[in-house]
Amino acid sequence: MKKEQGIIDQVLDGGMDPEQRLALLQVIESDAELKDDYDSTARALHAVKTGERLPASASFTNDVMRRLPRAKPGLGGRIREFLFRGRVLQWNMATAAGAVMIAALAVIVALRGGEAPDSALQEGGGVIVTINLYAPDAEKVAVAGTFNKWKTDANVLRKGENGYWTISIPLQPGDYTYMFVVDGQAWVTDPNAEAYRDDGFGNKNAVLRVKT
Amino acid sequence: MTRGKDRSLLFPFLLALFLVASPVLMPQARAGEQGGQMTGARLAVEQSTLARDEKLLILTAGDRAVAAGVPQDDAAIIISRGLERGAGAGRTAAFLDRAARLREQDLPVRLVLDRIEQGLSKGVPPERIATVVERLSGNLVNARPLVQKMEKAGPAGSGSASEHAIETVARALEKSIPHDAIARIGEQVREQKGSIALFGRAVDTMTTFVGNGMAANDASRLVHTAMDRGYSERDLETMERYMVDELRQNRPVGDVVSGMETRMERGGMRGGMERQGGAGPRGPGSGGSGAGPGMGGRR
Repeated sequence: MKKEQGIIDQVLDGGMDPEQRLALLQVIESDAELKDDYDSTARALHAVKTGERLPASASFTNDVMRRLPRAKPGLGGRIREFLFRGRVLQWNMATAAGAVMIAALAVIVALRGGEAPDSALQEGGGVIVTINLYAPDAEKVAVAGTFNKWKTDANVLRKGENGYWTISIPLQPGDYTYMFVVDGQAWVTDPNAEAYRDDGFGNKNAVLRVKT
Repeated sequence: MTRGKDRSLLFPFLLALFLVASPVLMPQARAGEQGGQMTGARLAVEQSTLARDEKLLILTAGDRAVAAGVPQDDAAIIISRGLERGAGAGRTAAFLDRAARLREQDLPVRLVLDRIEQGLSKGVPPERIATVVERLSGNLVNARPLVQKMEKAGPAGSGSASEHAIETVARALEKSIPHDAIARIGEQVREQKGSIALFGRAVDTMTTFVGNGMAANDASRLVHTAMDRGYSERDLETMERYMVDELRQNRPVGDVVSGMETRMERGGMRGGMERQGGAGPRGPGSGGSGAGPGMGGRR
């Protein structure tokens, strides 16, 4: 069989003069079994030559190697393998989008949680308190107090109907003091506060008690 | 990832990574933001027209304050606001040093920081702020033994409750309320096995009365009577609201005192049942109209 296969290989490989090739083909034609082998080999060669060559995926070798049977590792080994084994990542859009969303969520949560840790306004989970002031002639009204470290531009009230200015602020339970800042200059005590406390400088701050 | 098994592990892995990283990331983000605020304040100092040694003075004081435990955002606000208000390098540094010294003495610093930030924001002259803050700092030093004495003998509070009590007593001392009056409240709370929060509220009520024009002896008598009768924190708040409502109707302080005593004799002034006058109950976020024309208020 080895000898006959050698004849077939010689014919299909080419590289011989026509007379020698003719002689070998005659030998093949004379032997039915040899002819079958020759035909099947020739068809296979033709298919290889004329067929579409599909490109192998980048992970082809990796996939093949992983399909080879091997000893099943323990849990530790599997975790170690998952974490440290070299791999070729083939992302699809859904996986990539999911990963991006998780990463974005992590960044958003981290940044939101980090916003102004010492401002009660931003800590969340508090009680919504609505504060208003009747000031029909005012151009701008803000509220400054212990909840925003007396910033005069952090909490600006919105002008509503009938000259009322209003703002809703989320606050954690506790006692706060505050004053209104009208038109960026005049500090005005809330005339309807439930209590007042000296500000230490000769004025009275309104007291706001937020309870759960 | 080409295999389902790997993909099934991917999301739990990323989720676990996120859950583990979040608690770590958030404080770092906060610290980063606070650090950012301090960086902004540094930049403001660098870009100011102050002389180089003045800039150095402020920045050194800021670093010292932060190192002592003053929150970075408070230090940044004092620096930025001090520059905006023209407080001067020496005065701004002194504010920061005052806060740092309080922290180094393990005293609460929030009240002093608030007073500095508030004063600068309101445009109070820096010299006046400095005077107020120095006096307040002295009151904090004097308040601590009073609170510690009460805690040793009776109700112990958490760290924050103790600090709050010290600040409350300091504000009472600021209004010239005698030590004895405060100490007696401490004894009453101890006898009733009350909390340090109740002690703080009682002292705060006394301070509020005095701050609204009541004589210290009248304020002491009313609050001591209330404590003898076992008034709660809420009852004490009711007393404060009663006074505010009466004063809003232009009643003389003397009438407010006698009216309050009469009601207490009758068993009133408890739990918000005695509220009278123009403004109705206005719990935070309770809705409704909290103010009539010409007045502000909370709704």
